Amino acid sequence: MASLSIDFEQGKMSAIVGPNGAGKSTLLKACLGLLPTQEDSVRFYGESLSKKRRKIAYVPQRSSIDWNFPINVREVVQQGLIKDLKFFQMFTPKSHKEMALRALQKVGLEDFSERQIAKLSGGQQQRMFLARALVQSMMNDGADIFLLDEPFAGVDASTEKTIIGVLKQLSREGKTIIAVHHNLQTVSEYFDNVVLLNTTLIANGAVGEVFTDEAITRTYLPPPSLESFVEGF
Amino acid sequence: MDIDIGFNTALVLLSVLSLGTACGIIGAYIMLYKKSLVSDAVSHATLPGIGIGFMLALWLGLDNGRFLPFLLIGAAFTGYLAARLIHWINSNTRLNEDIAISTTLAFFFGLGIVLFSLIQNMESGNRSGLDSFLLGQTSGITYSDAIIICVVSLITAMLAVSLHRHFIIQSFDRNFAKLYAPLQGRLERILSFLMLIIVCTGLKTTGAILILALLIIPAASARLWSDNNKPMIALSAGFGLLSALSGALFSAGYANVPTGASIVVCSFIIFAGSMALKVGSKASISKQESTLQ
Repeated sequence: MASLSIDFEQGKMSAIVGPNGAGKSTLLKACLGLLPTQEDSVRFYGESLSKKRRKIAYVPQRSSIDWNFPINVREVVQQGLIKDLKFFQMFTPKSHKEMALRALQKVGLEDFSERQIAKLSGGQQQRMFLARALVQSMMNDGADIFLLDEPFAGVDASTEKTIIGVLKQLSREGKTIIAVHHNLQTVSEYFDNVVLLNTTLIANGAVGEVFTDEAITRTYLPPPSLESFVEGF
Repeated sequence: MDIDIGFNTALVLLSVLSLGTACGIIGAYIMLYKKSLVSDAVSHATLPGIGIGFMLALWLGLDNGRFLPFLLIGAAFTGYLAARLIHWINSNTRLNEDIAISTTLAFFFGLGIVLFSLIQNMESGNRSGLDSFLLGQTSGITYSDAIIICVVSLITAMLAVSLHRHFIIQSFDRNFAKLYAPLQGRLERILSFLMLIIVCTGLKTTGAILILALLIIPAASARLWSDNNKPMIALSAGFGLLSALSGALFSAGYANVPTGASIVVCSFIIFAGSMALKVGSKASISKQESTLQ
């Protein structure tokens, strides 16, 4: 992706939709400052990323994690409170533990808090990371923007229901949700706004207005150039 | 085996114990960061530094060349150079980390051997004792050495433990740590630094080649027993202590056995025992099909 400009609406749920290689995850990572971007080009509430990190919660893709790591579910969730952790703090404050357990309850994992993370199903693993993001919003002056990378990828139906329930609740509380999403069928049911992306921005706006058959076709059809035609073989 | 426990011997043993414990703790973090091969290269890379330190000291007429501060500063310097070189090759060329590590390790170790041979050919140098930096010899440890080893081990271990939660977050989810952790970039460097300090501290006890055994094998054994980071690190410290103690006692009983080598054998006995007891039982396998989706 060379250059593109997207604004997300505060307090709304936005989906980023597009084919593989369209740059959805890249866009999300650029928002988070995990990729080199032009200085100050990412702004939250008009301020630069470095000033607003505390305001942003992030749910990664499950594939980027070493599940064999010797850590349990509660400890992963507590990581969300790292901003409140002093540099040489050896012991976990009780309040951190309580917040982690509360977040686990919201995603229905309260019975799994002491389990090693590989011993969860894929859906439970995804809910664990959502709980970590929830904990980030529970801090004083905590997160109110949630960035999620394919939160519904490879999860079971009940997990999908739990996750969307939690996200809708957050949205009702005025939080902003931005998710990379791959299931076109559920876009209009789950989200308020949609960003259609295929290396360039195709459309951005309310689902009812821009999520049309014509726009979807334009997003998923490869650009009519000879090179992409040849690559198809 | 005849062991005479005088005050001096007891102090040397205490220093070996604290070194083993500190190595067990720092080694566990190194394992979680998946940096064990880097620390192997770094420990080998201390050799040329020892040689350079020896030559410098000889040239300046200090202690017939065996002036410990020079040797240790030299060791730390080339160890650090090796770590930077690996990092540089890995991030600035198309070569992978394993290539960077093996090339660097071979070069620095070869250079070390060349320098040691040159020193041997020099008439004036008192080279005896330099060999103990290769494989370790507790009999060469003096009263003041022992105290320094105790204090440095204690400090590095405490520093590592007090950074526990930050180390865990960064080694578990690098992107997350990068986003939120204060001083995230420096954390990995702090761990390398602690590793370098403990390697140099252990040079006289275990030698440059085999300190890795004291860093990694106790951690590996502990991982087999525990699925959680805190008990794992505690166990690793315990295994480190046990291997260092039994290895030092063994080499003290048989005068010609290098301490480093007997510590390795002891730590591997613990590792083999852990394997026999834990591998095959369900507890040691936390990988699960669902993670492969």
